[in-house]
Amino acid sequence: MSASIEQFTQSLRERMTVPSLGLDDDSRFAYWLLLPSIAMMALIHFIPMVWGFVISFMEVNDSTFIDWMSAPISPLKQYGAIFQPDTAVGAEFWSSLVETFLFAFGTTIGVYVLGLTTALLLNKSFRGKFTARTLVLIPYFAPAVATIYIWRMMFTADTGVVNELLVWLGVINSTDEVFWLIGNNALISMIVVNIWKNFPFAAIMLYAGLQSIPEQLYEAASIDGASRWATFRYVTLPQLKPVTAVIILLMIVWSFINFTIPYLLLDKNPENGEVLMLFIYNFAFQNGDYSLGAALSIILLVISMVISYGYYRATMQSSVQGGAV
Amino acid sequence: MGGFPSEFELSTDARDHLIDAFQKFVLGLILTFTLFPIFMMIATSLKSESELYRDGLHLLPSTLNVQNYVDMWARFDLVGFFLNSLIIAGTTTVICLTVGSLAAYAFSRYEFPGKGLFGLTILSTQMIPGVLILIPIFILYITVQREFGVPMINTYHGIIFIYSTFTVPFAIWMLRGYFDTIPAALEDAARIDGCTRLQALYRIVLPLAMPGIAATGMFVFIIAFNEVLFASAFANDGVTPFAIGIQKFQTSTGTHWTEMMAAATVSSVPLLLIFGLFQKQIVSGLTAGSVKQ
Amino acid sequence: MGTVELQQLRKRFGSGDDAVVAVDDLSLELEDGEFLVLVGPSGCGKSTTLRMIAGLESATDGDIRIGEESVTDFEPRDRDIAMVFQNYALYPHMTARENMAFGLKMNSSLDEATIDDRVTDVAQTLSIEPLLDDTPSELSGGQQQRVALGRAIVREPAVFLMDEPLSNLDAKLRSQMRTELQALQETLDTTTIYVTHDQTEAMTMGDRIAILNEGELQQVGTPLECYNTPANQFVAGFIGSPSMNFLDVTHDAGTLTHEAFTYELSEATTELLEDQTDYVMGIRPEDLDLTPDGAIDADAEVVEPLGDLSHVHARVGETLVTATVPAGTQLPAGESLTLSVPESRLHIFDHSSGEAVKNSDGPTQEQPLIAAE
Repeated sequence: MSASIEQFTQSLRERMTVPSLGLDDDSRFAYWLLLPSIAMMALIHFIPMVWGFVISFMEVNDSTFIDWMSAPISPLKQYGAIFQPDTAVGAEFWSSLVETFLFAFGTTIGVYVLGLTTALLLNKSFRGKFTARTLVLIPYFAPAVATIYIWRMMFTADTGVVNELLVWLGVINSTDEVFWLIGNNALISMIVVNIWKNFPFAAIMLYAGLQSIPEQLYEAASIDGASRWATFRYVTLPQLKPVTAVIILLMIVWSFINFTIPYLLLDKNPENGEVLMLFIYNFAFQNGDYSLGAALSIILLVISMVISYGYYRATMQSSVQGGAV
Repeated sequence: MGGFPSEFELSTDARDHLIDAFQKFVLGLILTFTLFPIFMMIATSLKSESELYRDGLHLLPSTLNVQNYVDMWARFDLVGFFLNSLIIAGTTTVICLTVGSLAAYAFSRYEFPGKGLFGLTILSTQMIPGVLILIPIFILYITVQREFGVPMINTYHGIIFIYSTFTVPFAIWMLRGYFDTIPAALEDAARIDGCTRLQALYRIVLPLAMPGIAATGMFVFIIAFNEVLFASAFANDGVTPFAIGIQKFQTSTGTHWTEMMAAATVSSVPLLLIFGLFQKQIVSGLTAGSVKQ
Repeated sequence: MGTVELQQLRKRFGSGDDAVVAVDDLSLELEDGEFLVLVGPSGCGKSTTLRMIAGLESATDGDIRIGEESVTDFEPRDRDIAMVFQNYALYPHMTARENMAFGLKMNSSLDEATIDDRVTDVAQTLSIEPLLDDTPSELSGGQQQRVALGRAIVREPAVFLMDEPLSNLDAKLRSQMRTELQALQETLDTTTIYVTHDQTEAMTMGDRIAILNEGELQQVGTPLECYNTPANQFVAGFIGSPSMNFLDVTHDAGTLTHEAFTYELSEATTELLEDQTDYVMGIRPEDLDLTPDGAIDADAEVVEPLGDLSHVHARVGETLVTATVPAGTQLPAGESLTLSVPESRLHIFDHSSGEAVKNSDGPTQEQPLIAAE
């Protein structure tokens, strides 16, 4: 019995030489290790992504989505609408796109500058350094939903502490309160909250980067008579380059697809400054036009990929030329 | 004699003091920015609703009012929300770390055909807008429910599966950096000592990577704890997590800020406590993984 | 038992255009209990070979046999081997005792008490018993080295594999451990393959040496064979310190011509040379004598006194050569001198292939100190 099974598998093995694919044991083991991750990502990321791509060429809405396959196919209806200024979506698409870029770049610059400043300050030895480092990290570890609501409360026009502070400082009159969560101000508010939330991440990464710079480099610089600024410019910054690249890329991409901050801070209100994620959400879920939402998402995905790729190329190039950050 | 040098030293000394003071000042500003919202959260949670709406700047509550901490429980099932979040985020963390550490290990140790492509693919998942895949996943789940009779929407396992997958790429990236710091010769030694490849991984590598795993786990937990978009679609009714639950303080008649801040304060305590306890591991684990060239 | 046989072993990394052949067509045989040193410059494939024998790398082609059994497709744990690593690779989260016991725990059915006895026994042999409850980070480099050795010995494997185990020790400890390791191997009588880039270790430790270069086996033999009858110019240059001197010459009717001198060969030697004209003369520094009427004109550059003897670096034409001279020899830089070498000590290599055409008459076997009459 068992012999016949052995024979059977043996003959199978002889006939099916393909599965080894000429792979060595190491590669095969590596594939086994990757299998669960890839399988999960296939189900949750890739198949739905392709599916979403297909939906973007159809007319799926909240009445047809369960039976989505029978929804009408109209290849370029959604994309056409997006790029025509006289449609509901096309009228605001470009301004929304600009808003998204401003949000991403404002956040990235703010997070990096504040993160680097913090990292440099923490890199000195002083009393209470450990405490300072712990406190700086709090925004990153506090529950996001709760903290965004705190900011929303602080930004509220009539009772918010931000306006109260401005009145107290004499910057504005108590009668003309600033509406922080509407229009252009909403963009500033979102950027502030996003910076607050993410700069600790940059700070701690850069702090670790600073710690890993060999002391000899600074000694060599000081023997060469380099000033504080020159040391920073020619020793510190170039050494931080790999961390910087990671932080900037993550910040841009995470900002592009950040949903939580605009959604919770601006209260899903389409009147407010709309970054694309919120814009898409409103079309897809408030209006129930899933195909339009999918088409917009595909555009957003393509944009983030192009930016990431371009950024990747640019940083790789400059590292070949040995330039600083 | 020596007058000039000492004067010179004095002036650099003074300059150093000035710079030092300036640096302390900037750090103070940054810490104020960092902590002010947290302070406001706690302060507001101790105010009465009428005090909140009083005009003018008054940061501290005039009287300590703990009523919010009592009332908030009555208004909603906060304990339930919080437990749901712990279950969802906790299980997500375990699954994500298990699956992610296997893949991270493959990336750290082996050269295999398609490695670069796999890496790029995993990275690219970070750019997928959630709204794009939400509807397909929703349809997928409904199909599974209908065809196989397995409930998926508004279940723990449904949302946990989504979160575990979402966090896996990040976990792979962080853990890979951490595994890279563990000498491969240790596994060679273990394999010669009688371990299979898998045994070498969990008997030798994983115990050594514990700080990195803990740090990664903390991040995964936080991501899962804070997710809003998918939770609002896939985790309602009995499995509503805190991130959705807290939004219920915002009602059609207005937002109950004081109670909401009380709830926010209470929910922050466990997270900040874990963070405080494991700060060292988290910082070192985070940095070991990320600072690699 | 502990015989090892490598048959046409090959290892290729990568595929297609950027494939690198790390080990090419390597065949070797070890007797039971033999101590073989695999030596070569870095990147020569010696470590890859060792790792293939261990099963840590899979062989692209060829066969590995340990004790008559083909183990080519076996997992490392099924090969009955133990290995000592360059950086010791002690498990940082285990004590020395646990490190040594780990292999037996994983790979044998022995009970805890027996394992513990064996660990203690081996620890005694290596005099590390007091350290058994320390973790690797609490041990010095030399102590870690001993624990790593103990971890291998306690397994009682058929074959020891050692990958540059002494390279992280300081010079003094290294020579001490060299002797100790040799004595240990003799006592245990376990087949050992020892990888090193250090030709001194190769010369002093091995029963036989196998020299590798660019993935190919150059020569296998006793240390003296390799030293005195190198198969080719690479072996000649690699074995011996300071290295053999090489001088490019052309041959014409029994005369070797260098840009700075000519050297007359005997008829017997001339017969060894073929029709071609380009050869390389090889002379060991100790065979190069400083004589007033030598055939080779040279200019002194620098003298390195080592105490027991001195090395003279001199220029012959464009080539820098080294000669061993008695201690205390003084030569001002630029001083002209002449060097001589007896023809019997001369090595001649084919210029294009590097193959040895003629070697010196040095002994190829160890001789008893007092020759039996």
